[in-house]
Amino acid sequence: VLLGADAIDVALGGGLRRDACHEVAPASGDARGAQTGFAARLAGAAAGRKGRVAWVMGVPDLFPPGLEQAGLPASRLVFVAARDMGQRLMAMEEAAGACAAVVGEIALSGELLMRATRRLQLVAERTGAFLLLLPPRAVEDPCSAATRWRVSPFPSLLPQVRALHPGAGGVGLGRMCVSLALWRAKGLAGARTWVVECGDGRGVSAGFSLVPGLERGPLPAREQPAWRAAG
Amino acid sequence: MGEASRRVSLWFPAWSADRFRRESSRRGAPPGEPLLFFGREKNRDVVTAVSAAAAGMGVRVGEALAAVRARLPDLVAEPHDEGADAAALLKLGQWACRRYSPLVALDPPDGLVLEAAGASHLWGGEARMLADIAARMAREEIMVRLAVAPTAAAARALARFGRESPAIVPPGGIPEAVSDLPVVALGMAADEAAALSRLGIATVGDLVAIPRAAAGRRFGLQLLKQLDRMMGTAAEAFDWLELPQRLAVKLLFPEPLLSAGPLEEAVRRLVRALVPKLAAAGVGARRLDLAFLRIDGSVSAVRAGLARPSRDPAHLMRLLLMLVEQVDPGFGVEAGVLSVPLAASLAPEPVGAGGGDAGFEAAVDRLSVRLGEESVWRAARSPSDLPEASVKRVPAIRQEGGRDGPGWPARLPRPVRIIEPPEPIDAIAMLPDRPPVLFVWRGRRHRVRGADGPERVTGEWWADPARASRVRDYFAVEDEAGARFWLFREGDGEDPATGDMRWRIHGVFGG
Repeated sequence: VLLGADAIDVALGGGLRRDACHEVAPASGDARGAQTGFAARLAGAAAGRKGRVAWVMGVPDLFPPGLEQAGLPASRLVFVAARDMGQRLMAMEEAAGACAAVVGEIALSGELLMRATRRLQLVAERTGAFLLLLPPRAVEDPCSAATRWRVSPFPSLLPQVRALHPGAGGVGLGRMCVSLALWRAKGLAGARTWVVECGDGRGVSAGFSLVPGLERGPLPAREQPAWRAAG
Repeated sequence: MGEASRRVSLWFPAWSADRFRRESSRRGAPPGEPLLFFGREKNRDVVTAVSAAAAGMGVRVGEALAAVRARLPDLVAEPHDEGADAAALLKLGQWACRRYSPLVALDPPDGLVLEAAGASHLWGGEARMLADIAARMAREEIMVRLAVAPTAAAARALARFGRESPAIVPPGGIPEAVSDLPVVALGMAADEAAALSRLGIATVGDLVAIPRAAAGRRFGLQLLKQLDRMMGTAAEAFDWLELPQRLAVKLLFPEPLLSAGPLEEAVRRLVRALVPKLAAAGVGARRLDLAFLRIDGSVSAVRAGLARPSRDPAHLMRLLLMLVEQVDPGFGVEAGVLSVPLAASLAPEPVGAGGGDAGFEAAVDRLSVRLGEESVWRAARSPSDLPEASVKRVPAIRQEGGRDGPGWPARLPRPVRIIEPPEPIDAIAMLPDRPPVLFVWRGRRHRVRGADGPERVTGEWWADPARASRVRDYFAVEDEAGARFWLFREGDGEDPATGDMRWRIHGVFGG
């Protein structure tokens, strides 16, 4: 599954592995939107034009019109709501056999997380489904996912006119930026962080591109970009 | 789970009037109000049933028609057709049997009893099933009061005499739930109840408080028996409705089955017997009812739903085997019945060759059986400009969402998660038509560095008159960390009816 930004796809060795389980965690309290958008883009890219996507969750607060804009059309998507964590894991397994991608909002920690991810990893290998785990917050407990991401929003490149009228309406926002921190990855050493812009979601990739001015690519986590201080 | 009964009582307080109004309206002549029905009793016409409006005007069953007519000259009085009432109740019962539960019994003259255990899972729980019943009846303009309890007697009493509808009594909760009900709720005649109340026994709770032997001596064994049925210590017997259906198979077991293994084997045999019948009829099952008849005469039944018609034995078996663990064999099961209350035509192609989506539909079936049909859904566009009303859920098992309908506007920014209902935020905006420069949400300050908007959304007078005049101006704003939020202010700043001018947050963007 390609993210669309070549530097990241190359660093991952050709995008994210399809028949694997990946964890996408929010890096902060306000990162839930960025986390959801990242997962929606990846799932949409994994499903392509024909595949199905199942989104397994506890509280149904997803907004399908927004998911469509992120490249996950409602016609491909099935929502599954279950309060119980065990039922959600069961639903992910069941859906993996029939969908190209399965997104699961799963909150587990400790030994349970390890056991569940090991099992989901096996399910992904058996069915070929692309599995995404969306925990409500980032945990450091070991887990068996192929990659673990920490996603957070990042100040976007706003149109220049805006600077003259702080807070003015009607000028537009341009594309949203997110910071993607690859915190753990099987076969890759060290954490890496990229800042990407969210493009049009449709197509073969998730539609991300590296932010102009930050083409240097991976920057160490937590470093502030130079242009931000200058602007 | 499943083994304990969960009986739902439906009571239609104005059944005769509602039934009559439906039938007259279908003929194009809706009757006026107040509407009442009369019958002949001891050479005079007596009121036998009233509409809700007539009841509101103080008309009571048992009054002399002449007296009511003197009070309300423009009332509409119709001879009471009890046969038509009963026929309509039977029709409604058969419909409920198809839609809600394989076990439905008539509770004449104006009620139904149905078994929710083994069926409510299709709705995502009892509360949702009752909500669907209430919504359906409201649409059909049939007044209904609902209660669910471990015994039908308790549910009946609560539907008729309880304070709220729907009432949901948890297992073991009967004594508490019924203690405040009047003694007539036990199903005794009014004069008996009056006699009891002279003795200071007004409620079921009062009666329970009396030592059993004394109560039996003084009030008769019949009353005690009623009390036991309500509390669940004595068995209740029902004549469950049987749907007229051709697609059913029955197996009688030479020895009563007592454990899970033989029950599962029975399911396999039933499915193997049913599939040729489905094939001969050229149909696939959309719903399956599996009923086990116990040797004590009681019935345990479960129901499975399917997203697309199927007669694939492996798929049908898998669905039913997931449910069979809910079946309590009791003292032994002597017969099994597998029937198809809902079928759809299915071309005689080789089973299971439905292309890539057949596996998907099968997975939807299994998830819907385990989690409830309402828990597995697709989103479809609903014709509304209000964002929260622009999306409707279609249970995935119902196939309607399969076609690609018109999508949502692609160019207006929409969040990936919605906060419903919108939460008020404290915001500072420089000008009334400008986005805020700062806002506080859930105790956190967000300084706005960029915004897009406004997008004006107006209320829909045809959908909800209360919100008709509302005006919302939506802004997408980005805070200093780069997170984007969907904010709106309700009101146009001039007319207070358009909104209170407060800022609210309605969603978060995902990029």
